[in-house]
Amino acid sequence: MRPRIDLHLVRENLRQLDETTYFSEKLHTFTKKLIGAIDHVLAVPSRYSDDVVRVFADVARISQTYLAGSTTKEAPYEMEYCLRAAIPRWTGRETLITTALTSGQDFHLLPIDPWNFVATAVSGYQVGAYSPLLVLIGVPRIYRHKPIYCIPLYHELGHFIDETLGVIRYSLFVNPPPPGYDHEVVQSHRQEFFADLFAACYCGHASIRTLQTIAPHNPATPTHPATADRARVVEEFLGGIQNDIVDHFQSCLAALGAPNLMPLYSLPSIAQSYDDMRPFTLTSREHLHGIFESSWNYLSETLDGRPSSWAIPSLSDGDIERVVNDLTEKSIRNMSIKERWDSGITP
Amino acid sequence: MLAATPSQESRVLTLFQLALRLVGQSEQPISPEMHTYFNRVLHQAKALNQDPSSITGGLLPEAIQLALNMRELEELRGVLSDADDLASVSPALADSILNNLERRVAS
Repeated sequence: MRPRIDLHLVRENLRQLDETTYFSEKLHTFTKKLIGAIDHVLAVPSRYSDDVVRVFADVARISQTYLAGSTTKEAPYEMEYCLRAAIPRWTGRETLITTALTSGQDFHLLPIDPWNFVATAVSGYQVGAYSPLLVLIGVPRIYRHKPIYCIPLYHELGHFIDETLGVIRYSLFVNPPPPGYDHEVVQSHRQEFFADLFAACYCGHASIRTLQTIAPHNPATPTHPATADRARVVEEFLGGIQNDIVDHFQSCLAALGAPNLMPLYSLPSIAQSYDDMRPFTLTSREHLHGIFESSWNYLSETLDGRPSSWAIPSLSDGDIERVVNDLTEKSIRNMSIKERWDSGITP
Repeated sequence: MLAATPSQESRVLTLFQLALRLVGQSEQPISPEMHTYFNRVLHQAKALNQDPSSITGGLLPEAIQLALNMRELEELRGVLSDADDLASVSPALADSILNNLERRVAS
């Protein structure tokens, strides 16, 4: 297909998206500006080569796909809120998070940077200082209102930060794979270790408990280290025990001028509120991230028979899970609403 | 994703490769912004290759990727040594750099 025709089709879809009601103001702005850039390219056919238009059509099409996921009322706003709270430590770029609900069980997170492309290759269109990164998170539909089961999104955010800063690329440069090791395998394993540690900075032990639940005995594969090795690295990091992998990543981050890996959470004491079936009142970022480990522990203990006013013997595991996830989701939502109310901003 | 990570290697140098493709096309001038971007990536990658400790902060991920490719491919190092900036890249040199970069991704 000719790239200009592709751009016409993408623009048409973006216009339809822009008319939807369930769209945040920031996503409307993003969409309008992207339509403006496409209008500009299509208005002057001779100004940009087919190669530029082809890549731009690709960038615009992927962006449009990302935006489409966030037009429904189903987006897990609470998880988006938590991830947004984590990002500013790592990048000064504004980041817009969009969501796609997936039918599988895998979480994913994909970044795209259309405005860097526009500013560089479509330079006749003035974007000014507007340059938000667009991040698509893929969440299994069955977990969209189950924040405790969305902990892997922090791991995915770790991949995004790695990609944005170039951590593992730098790691491979200063510490190449030993002779005889497969470059791709070493790269993949380092990416996974980094993302695990990143998630542990925010979700603590819950990050690795999730993995141990999903893949308790998995051996090393070309794409992933063994679960036992991943758990050991995270446990040593959280326990303050010296670990060569952690030390190496810290030196890479320092060389890149990035902040270091460190626990950025504290565990809120949710038991009293949850025992009364009340959301916990979150008042700090550390508690916001820490509620995942606290809730994970509370859920595990309640499933194991910990007494509370509501967890009576006739309740099924599914009932208990639903109550704890609901309380966690409401705790996060209340903090989000209060923050917006206090600041007077629109969503 | 928790079960598999997507490879970004082939995408991270898209803009850099696009600049090289535009070198051989005389109908449209290459924008100053594209020159600036290309030169920044090239200079950072070369500096990193010479002395990793010479750069602190502000490194572009694509410059690190290019430096990695340069270290792995002697031929790529050779052709890039002839390029000081985008203005100094001839269409033949651009083709040669592109061929080496594509060979790196395909291998």
